[in-house]
Amino acid sequence: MDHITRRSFLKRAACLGGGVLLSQSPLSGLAQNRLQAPPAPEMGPDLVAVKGKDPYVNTLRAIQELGGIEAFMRRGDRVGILVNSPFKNIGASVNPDVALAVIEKCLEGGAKEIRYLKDPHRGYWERSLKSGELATVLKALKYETGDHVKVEIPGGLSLKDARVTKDLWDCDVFINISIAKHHGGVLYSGALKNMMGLCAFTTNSYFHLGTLKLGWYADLDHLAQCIADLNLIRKPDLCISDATAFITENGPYGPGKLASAETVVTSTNRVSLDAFCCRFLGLQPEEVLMIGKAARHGLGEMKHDRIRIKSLSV
Amino acid sequence: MIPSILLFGSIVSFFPIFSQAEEPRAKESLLSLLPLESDLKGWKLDGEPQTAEGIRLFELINGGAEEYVKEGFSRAVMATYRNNEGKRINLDLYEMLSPESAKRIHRKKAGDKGQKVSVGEEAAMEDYYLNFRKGVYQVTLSGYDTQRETLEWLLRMARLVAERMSASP
Repeated sequence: MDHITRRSFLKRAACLGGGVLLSQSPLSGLAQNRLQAPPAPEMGPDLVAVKGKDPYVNTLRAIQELGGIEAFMRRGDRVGILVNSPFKNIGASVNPDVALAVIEKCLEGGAKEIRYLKDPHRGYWERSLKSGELATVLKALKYETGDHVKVEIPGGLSLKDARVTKDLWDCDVFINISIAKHHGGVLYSGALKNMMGLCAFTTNSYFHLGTLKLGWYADLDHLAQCIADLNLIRKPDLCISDATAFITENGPYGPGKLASAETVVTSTNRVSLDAFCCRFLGLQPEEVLMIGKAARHGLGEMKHDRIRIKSLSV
Repeated sequence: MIPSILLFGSIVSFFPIFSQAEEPRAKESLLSLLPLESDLKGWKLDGEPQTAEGIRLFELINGGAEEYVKEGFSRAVMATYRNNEGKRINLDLYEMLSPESAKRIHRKKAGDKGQKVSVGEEAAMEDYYLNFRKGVYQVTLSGYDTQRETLEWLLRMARLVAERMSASP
């Protein structure tokens, strides 16, 4: 995939979109709403699933098969990575080897800065046997500043604005790294849900309690719609889903029964990615409300037979 | 978006800790219930334990807090222990508003699954984690593997915590 061509396309798509506005004028010019590219045969697979014993190797291969990291970033870019890694229980956070592989590729690709958009739990990197040999990679990381800005979402149906980490708007490239796992409220936590990691607690509270029904998960339709709406703020340039080992109950925090699909999946589209990966938990995309709602926003394809899938084992 | 005062009202009424009238009781520090390193032969605290009270549990464990607050959550302490080989065990201790609350949340967390083990008033060991309850407390310990040594330490730590608890407030 030619990244310059792709970038040009995305810029044109952003001009057509207009789904999000930053309310603070100094940042307004940075707002990017990169709409979903329509599938074209010459663009290769929409989604790559790599199965193997080593999550690190799976990740490298899955990125390569989608066009290589150079398809998603240029030398000198600032890269923001949103990794679902705040939970210490095994299978509740992305395997650190998956995140390390992405970070290493971004550095190889000439990233000027890599910003970790949501801090990991304490001891996260030490869970990886590779964290020692990749110490220099980890040293290059910058963590969240903690500053949030209000973002208007005119296209949102339930969510009209959100307080989102300012760091997101400082990045040239945005990579969403999620784990395919159980979620007690919306059944499945993947790339779409991972976007809540960018938000301030007050915004996430509104997702859960905004219709004033009592209970964190009392209004799942509202929660799912807010998640779909939030995904209008910015399209990730690359999405990665860790389906190597994940909880199938007691999500999102765990601990709970573990399943292992030994698979890492990459895609440029988070709707297709979630629609594909929720099946690892025995769910159909139609059962996961936010997937359908995000598809209805035009954010991506959820029908299995319309997604070009490349599966391989290593 | 709805006014934040309404959202706050919703949050307040959702949380039993705010809405339930109850006589304040003397609270011992939850930190005192954690096992001492001197009893743990090579296991040490990995960083300072984290604590949460009321609504702040959501900041610590996100959506995982839902069931606890619904059943009547008071406060929690979370610690991680690490041994010389770099292995880790997580210990999450939740103080509920009543023993009945602890019983309900334990049933949700442990269910009928796992191997029954003798810790506190009720306990179940799963592949890599253990749940037990005693009095107003629900405790979860989890490791990162299913090795026998790890499971033995889960059990040993659980028993040390249970010993440090008074049966009920």
